[in-house]
This record gives sequence, C-alpha cells and structure tokens, in this order.
Amino acid sequence: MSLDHFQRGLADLIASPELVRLVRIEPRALDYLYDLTPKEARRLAAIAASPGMEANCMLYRANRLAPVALNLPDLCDALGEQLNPLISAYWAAEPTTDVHFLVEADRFCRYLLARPDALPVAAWPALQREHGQVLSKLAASRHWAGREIFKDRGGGSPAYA
Amino acid sequence: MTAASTPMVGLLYNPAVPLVLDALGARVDYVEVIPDRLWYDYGPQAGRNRFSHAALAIDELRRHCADRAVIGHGIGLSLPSAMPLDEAVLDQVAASHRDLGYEWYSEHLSMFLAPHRSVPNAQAGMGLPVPFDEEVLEIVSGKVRRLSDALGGARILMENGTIFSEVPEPDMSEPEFFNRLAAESGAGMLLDLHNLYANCLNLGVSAQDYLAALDPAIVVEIHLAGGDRLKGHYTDSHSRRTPSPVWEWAHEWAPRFPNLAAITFEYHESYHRRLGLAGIAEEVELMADLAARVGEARREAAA
Ligand SMILES: [Fe+2]
Repeated sequence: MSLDHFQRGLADLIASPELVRLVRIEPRALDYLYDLTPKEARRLAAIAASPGMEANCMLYRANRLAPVALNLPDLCDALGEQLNPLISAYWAAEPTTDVHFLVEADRFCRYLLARPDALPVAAWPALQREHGQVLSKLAASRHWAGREIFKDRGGGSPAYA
Repeated sequence: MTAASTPMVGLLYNPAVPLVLDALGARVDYVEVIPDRLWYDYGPQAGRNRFSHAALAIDELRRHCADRAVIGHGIGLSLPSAMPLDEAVLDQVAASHRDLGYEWYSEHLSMFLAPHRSVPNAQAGMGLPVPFDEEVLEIVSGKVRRLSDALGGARILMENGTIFSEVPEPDMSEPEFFNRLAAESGAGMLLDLHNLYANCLNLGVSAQDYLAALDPAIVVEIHLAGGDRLKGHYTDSHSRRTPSPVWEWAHEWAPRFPNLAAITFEYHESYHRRLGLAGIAEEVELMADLAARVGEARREAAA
C-alpha cells in the first residue's frame, strides 16, 4: 500500500518549505524519499507546485508555534530574531507535533536547555521561569491521569434516527 | 427528526461559550462538543495514564448540557488516514458519549494524522487534503461503521474541509465522494458552508455546482463561521461573523435539505471579544430565522 507514503509525503511537504523548494526544482526527489505510484508522485509534485503551498506551510508554522507562543511569551520576546532559526531547527529535529500544548512547550524548552551555546544569555531567565511554570501546569494537568471521570448515563441511544 | 420539524440552532462549545449560554438561555438549542478538548493526551507511551481529563471543564459543560441537546464533533480520529483508528482515543470518545449523550457524532474528511512519521501517528498539525479515490472511500466507510458501532449505533456525519491545494486526478468529485460515502457507510454530511466559501475563494470552486451535486438527503447539519484573509489566501480561522455570501447560500439551500436537523455557528474563544456577546447573539438570531424558514417550508410542503 502506498497511500500511507503519499500521506506522509504530504505531511512532510507542509512541514518543510525546503522540501517544497526541492520538489519544485526536482520532482524526482520524491521517488527517493517515498514509495509512490506514478499517479501519487504526480499528485505530490502538483501539490508542491501549487500556489496554496505557501498557505499550507504558513499555517503549519502558525499551528506549531501556537503552544510555544501561548506558554512561553517572555522567552519568545527575549529570543527576538533568534526565535525563528531556533524553532525551525527544533521542528527539523523533532518533526512530530505533540497534541498537548504543555508537552509541546516543555519539549521546546528541553531542546533549548540541551543547547546552551545556541541560546542568547539574555533569554536564560525567561526560559527558566516559564519552563518552571509549564512544568507545574503539566503536573496539574496530570491530576486525573488514568482515572475515568466520564459517567455512564445511558448516552448511546441517540435521539436522532 | 420529522419531515415537518424545525432544525435546531446551536454553538460549537469553547471555554467562552458558557458566557453566551448564560446570557441567551433557551435561544441556544444545543452545544456541539469537541471531546478531544475534554482531556489531555500524553500519548500511547503513557499506557494506563495516557489520558487525564479536564474535570472542571467537564463539570461546567455538564451544567450547560442539562437542558440542552449535545452533539459530538471530533478532531482526533483522522478517518481518512491510511492507518488503523486509535482505539484508545475511540474508547474515550465512546465514554464521553455515554456520559453526554450525543445526538450524533461528526468527524472531518481531512487528514489530521500522518502515518509513518518519525513517531507513529504523527500529528500533521492541520487538516490536509484527501484524495477523492475509491481506496480512501473504502477506508473512511469502514471507519465510519466502526465509529458508529463504538458509539452504540449513533449516526456519524462527515464534514467537508477547507484546503489550499487540491489533490489532482481524483476518481470522483468531492460531492460525489460524500454521496457515495453516505450510500456505502450511512454517514450523513456536515456541510460547512464557510469551508466551501474558503475553497471558492482559494481554489475557484463553484459553490452552486458543488451544492447542486450533493444528494440533498445526506445533509444533516450546517456549519457557519467567519475567517480572515492571509497573504492572498482566505483562512477558516473561526474569527469573525458569517460573511454575507455564506448566509445567501444558507438561505437558498437549507430549505432544500429534507434531513437538515441542526445549524451551528463556530468561533474560536480567542476571538470572543472581537465578536462580542451582541455579535454572537445576532448570529444565533439569524440562525433561528433561517431554521424557522426551513421549518415553515417543510410544513407547507407537508400540508
Ligand atoms: Fe466546521
């Protein structure tokens, strides 16, 4: 089955403007990366070349930035122009978004903490303070972990038929 | 739902909606709940501790559901993805249904999870286009049946998405895909007219051709919303009131859908202040006018 490769290729394209540029110049690059039928390869190449690709890539970045911007606003301010290259490097290293905003914010903090040389000195206080806040919110969000709080009230016999 | 009844009007539930419900009371017939927002998901690696529920938010939701209908609207199952359903998420959705009693449950005809990323079931980060092919039809049909079984036979609806790039060389058109999906799986359609509007602006889709190609009997719910222009594109950001062309289509087409049972306004809580309580109340009134018109047309036709 190659539909899974097509879907993975599509997800990779929206996550990587570099890959989009490569495929626009050399569509055969897709054959080295994925196991596609000729039709799927044509489809991915056409999507990469489509004018909507800029919007796809832009929204992907906005969606991935949201948990960081929301939970680490002072760190983002302190990083200033360094935010873009650092977060791009983080996304390239860890291409999977976590659906849990706090986990995603924690992952970015850990990524930065593992690369102290790449971090401007002025950003350290914000990183430490906001990472601490994220960790305590994370702990609070785990409060009900493993416990079932939905009750069986007989929902399951729908009124609509 | 009887042939001569009036569709319900409701709101997509978000953390700001309780303010609206307190103000509007019985004007809002139902809330549409995204169950995936009722828990934190730590991923399969967390085992038995994978899900931690937002208990306070669920309590508040229950308070507002006590004398209202509830509809479930999921974002987490990604039915068109070429991989099995996440059974643990499915179990949670089913548990939320047993608690809240959804009238029906909808999901999106978009890809939210991509297979074979570096981590299994990687989150794609946004809804991605789906090839309207026989192969995908078979995948989605099977999962619709599985989802309905898990929800005790609840009706499943699938929603049309907004996309920026089409998948070329499809086996069939998007409306044909929805018609076939209904025939093969029993899934109704959640027709998001604002998503259609975005696709008209971004891709040059003809709304009239699209709506005329749908089997009118499959449309069970309509979504209304507003969006923003972003660098030459139009986004489905749920940030504004419904634009007038969307209202025009709604008035033209809603009376033609014999099984239309609900009309929902969607907005994101971050735009609550921009929309304002008065603005949201006006949307609810406009939806109620539309629903009344549909009910009137049905009663005339039945007489
Ligand atoms: Fe929608």
